[in-house]
Amino acid sequence: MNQYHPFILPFFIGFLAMLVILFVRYALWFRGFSKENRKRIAVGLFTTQTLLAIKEVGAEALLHLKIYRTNPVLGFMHMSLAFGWFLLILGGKLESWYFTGDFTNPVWYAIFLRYFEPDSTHLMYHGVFLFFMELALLMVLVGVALAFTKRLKKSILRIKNTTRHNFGNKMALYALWLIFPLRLLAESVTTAAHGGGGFLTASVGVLIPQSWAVESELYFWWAYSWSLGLFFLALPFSRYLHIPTEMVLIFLRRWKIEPASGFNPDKGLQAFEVHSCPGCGVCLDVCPAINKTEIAFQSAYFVNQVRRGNGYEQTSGMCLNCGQCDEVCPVGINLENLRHQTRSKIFNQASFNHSWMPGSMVFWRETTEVVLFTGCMGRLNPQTTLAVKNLLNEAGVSFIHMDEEESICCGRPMMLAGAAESAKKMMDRNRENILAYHSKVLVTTCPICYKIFKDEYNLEIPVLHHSEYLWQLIDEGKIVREKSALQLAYHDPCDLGRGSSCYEPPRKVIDSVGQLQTLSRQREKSLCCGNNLGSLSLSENERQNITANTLKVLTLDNPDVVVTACPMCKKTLQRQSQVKVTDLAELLWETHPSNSLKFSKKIEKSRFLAEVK
Amino acid sequence: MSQKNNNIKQVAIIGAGPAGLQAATVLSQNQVQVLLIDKQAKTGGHLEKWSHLFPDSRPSNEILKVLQQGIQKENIQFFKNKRVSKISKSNGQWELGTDDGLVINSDAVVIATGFNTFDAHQKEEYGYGIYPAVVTSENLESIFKGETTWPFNSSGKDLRFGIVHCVGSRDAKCGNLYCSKVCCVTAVKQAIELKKKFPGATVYCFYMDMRMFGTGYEELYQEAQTKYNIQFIRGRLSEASPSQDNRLQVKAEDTLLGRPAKLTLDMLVLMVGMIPAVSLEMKNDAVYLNQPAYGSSFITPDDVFLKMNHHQQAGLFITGACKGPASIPEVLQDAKATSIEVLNYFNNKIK
Ligand SMILES: Cc1cc2nc3c(=O)[nH]c(=O)nc-3n(C[C@H](O)[C@H](O)[C@H](O)COP(=O)(O)OP(=O)(O)OC[C@H]3O[C@@H](n4cnc5c(N)ncnc54)[C@H](O)[C@@H]3O)c2cc1C
Ligand code: SF4
Ligand code: SF4
Ligand code: SF4
Repeated sequence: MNQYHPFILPFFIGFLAMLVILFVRYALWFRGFSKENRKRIAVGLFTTQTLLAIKEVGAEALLHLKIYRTNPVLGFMHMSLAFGWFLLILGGKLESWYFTGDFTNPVWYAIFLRYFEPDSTHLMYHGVFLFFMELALLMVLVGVALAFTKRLKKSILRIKNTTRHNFGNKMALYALWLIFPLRLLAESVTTAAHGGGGFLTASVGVLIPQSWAVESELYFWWAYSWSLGLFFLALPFSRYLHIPTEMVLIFLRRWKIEPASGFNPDKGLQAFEVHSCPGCGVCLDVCPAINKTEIAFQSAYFVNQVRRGNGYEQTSGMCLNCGQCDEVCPVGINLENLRHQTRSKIFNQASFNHSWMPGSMVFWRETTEVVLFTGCMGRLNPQTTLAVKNLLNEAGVSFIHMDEEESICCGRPMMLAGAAESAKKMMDRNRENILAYHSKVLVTTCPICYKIFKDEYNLEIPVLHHSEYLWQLIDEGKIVREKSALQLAYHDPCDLGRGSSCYEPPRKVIDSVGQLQTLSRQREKSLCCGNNLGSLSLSENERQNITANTLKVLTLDNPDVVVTACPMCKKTLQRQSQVKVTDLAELLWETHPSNSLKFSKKIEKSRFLAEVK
Repeated sequence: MSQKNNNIKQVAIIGAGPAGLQAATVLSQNQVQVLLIDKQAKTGGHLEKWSHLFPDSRPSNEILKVLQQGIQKENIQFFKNKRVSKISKSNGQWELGTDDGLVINSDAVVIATGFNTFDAHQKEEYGYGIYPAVVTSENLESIFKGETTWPFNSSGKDLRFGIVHCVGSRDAKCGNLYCSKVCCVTAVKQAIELKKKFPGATVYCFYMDMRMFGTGYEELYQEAQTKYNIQFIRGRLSEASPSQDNRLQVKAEDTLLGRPAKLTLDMLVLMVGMIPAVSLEMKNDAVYLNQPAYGSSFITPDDVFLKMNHHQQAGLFITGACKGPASIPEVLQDAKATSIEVLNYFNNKIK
């Protein structure tokens, strides 16, 4: 039984080259791991996490379930390509094993089995094998066809694809397109020459004259082998590097590897992350800024730019930091962190002067139940602050409003700009100030502050967003309202919803005074107001386009009021809205019985406000 | 509506502010039948709200009286409380529709709908509608006229007033990039008037830059500094909040001295900018006069040099502050120019 023919050489050499290159690249990245991370790998290797990772590789790298859930067509395409190919490889191996009784037969023997063993009719169950192998081939071919039409449609629709195709990408792409049609042809020609074949190859085979087939059979196998070899050779230099890298990443994540700080796309976890992005584009569809800006900055493009090492300086500053793409990225790339590290790299030269910060030496302070922190954005919304204070008074809660005394910016805007060192200084001082009040709880009206207080401050007291605290007061019966017929649309602020997973409390507050509408994009899928502090460089015009679109979604069912829970969102939406926009604290205060005269079901914009007489 | 004599042409003028009144006067003097329409009960537009006028501090009544006398004519008919919402043309005849269903026909139309003031509630950080001591320039005029009372104890000592320029103008966030032109000089006018009423008071103006474009304005600005000792601080106000003693506290950055300024005030006046009163929309061959939305622009003339009073269709004219911020003298001159264009249009048609 002959198990070798020179035509297998292109495949085999390409395959070996890929293994060597991958090994070297990964080894270099591995060297970038910190001591702690290496220890984590050593420990994690022998835990159930490894098994779970294998399972996840199956679900994500082969079946692509996450992509399938967000975009079935795209998911099906990836699944048929990856899973189909996997079945072909596995099936080939099993079949060759069955044939020879020897599991250790050469790699190429299994891959090109149909050439070496065209006729298998003498074996039991050969039909079952054939059927499954050809089904898998059909599956892959459908995937290739889908990928092909996707690309074709894109170029017909002239969708601007900033993914510049370098040589490696092009070679890998064309080779990939050719591999499976060539396999089909080679197997069909062999069937025509020697008989055998399953439902696919046999039906193609009958169209081919036998004499011609015998003569030209080898050319097709050579071509098939070349396409495989070229693809493997190009893979480590193309975006298909994501296929093996994504699998490694799954293991790394299971072993709880921590991201290192700093911008290191060629070292450690970051290297594995940026090279795991298949450019699936799931992040494009959810981005509130998609097609609204002159330059596309979405994660798919951004990650690609980081990988290429240019262009990311501009795009990293544009993103709104709304968190939508983080939420949906099927690979689970830590996109927000990657952007922050990029920004730090760009902004760390800037030095800030902190001499303005108020001192922290305080002799005497009154102790209250609540420290109220309204922050820089609160200053733009005195109406909200006033409402919260009125509500706290109504509920009989003692409080101190920090911003009237000595508050410092929470530090998150600086953090978002990449000035982590400076932010740290402000946070430390602010933390001292807050704790000096010895209050039971810190309540803030600003989701931007809320997120950083919770995530980074390590305060010894609970931190509550005002929606949470107000709901608590309603729940305890300290604030009582009657539910009205008002139609209310709630806008989830990015930093409160996706950023801090606070979805229910604001809804409960709103629901206690009126009718909460269901929106087409809400909770995790809600749109950014357009003015997230996260973006450093979007133009006013681009922001306004985003805002207009968000307002369209919010007002689709003609609400009486658009309610939000963030001073920035309120300010941004309010400017452009025809419908009244208000903070939920204002809504709650305006529905106080003593204000009810002012409150009718239908309201005009700015109706709440007392006329100046 | 009114009976028609074939030789006598009719013009409909939308808006009876200074521009509309002036155009009505000139056209009626030239044997044109005028149909003057305003959504308000009184004529005079914004002029009717002002106390004294820049640049010469003349009582606004004097000018208003002249303009109102101009329309006391047989061939001028005034429709009050009618808001025009639609204009269309068929067979050379114009047809105007109002919100309440009235239809008015004419041979030509002049749009003189003027402006609205920017809604100061939108700059919530300045506290309008929240702290009574925060008023707009428009409110202050009515206080000067005695129609409303001072929002502070006016017998108090050491009074301090702040005036904020560019509220809702030159502010991309508000959707208005343009300068409202008249508010700088209005601020100077109002500051002087405040000093006349309260000689012991201190008045601060927070400005970005002073735009003294008209005749006599720069002189008024000089006088404000030398004779009335008004303090001009270059810098944008960041916020207003209540102070301990129930007055107002404002924070600003003095960009000339390069340091932050914190002041306690008894009253803060917001120089609200001008925004369009209507936004035109072409739909099915008719022009609709919509309520302006965020960022709506003023009505644009066909040519800023040669056709300042024309708008897209023969027989449709535009005049006054509906084209953008303007002072009363400018608006009056513009209305006269528009009247000539209307007369030319009629003459050319008869020939
Ligand atoms: C605070 C302030 C102070 C000022 N002080 C001075 C000053 O001292 N000196 C000076 O020279 N200028 C001053 N101005 C500028 C002055 O007010 C304007 O130049 C002038 O009012 C413009 O006249 P107008 O007729 O074009 O518009 P308007 O005065 O706005 O009149 C337009 C009229 O059209 C009516 N209208 C609008 N839409 C419709 C519709 N769809 N249907 C029917 N009617 C409609 C309105 O009711 C209104 O009566 C000041 C402006 C401001 C904001
Ligand atoms: S960043 Fe995530 S969602 Fe976006 S293209 Fe890459 S893998 Fe897909
Ligand atoms: S964080 Fe939001 S704005 Fe930024 S790229 Fe992702 S989806 Fe778009
Ligand atoms: S005239 Fe003066 S106050 Fe008014 S918008 Fe222009 S610069 Fe600002």
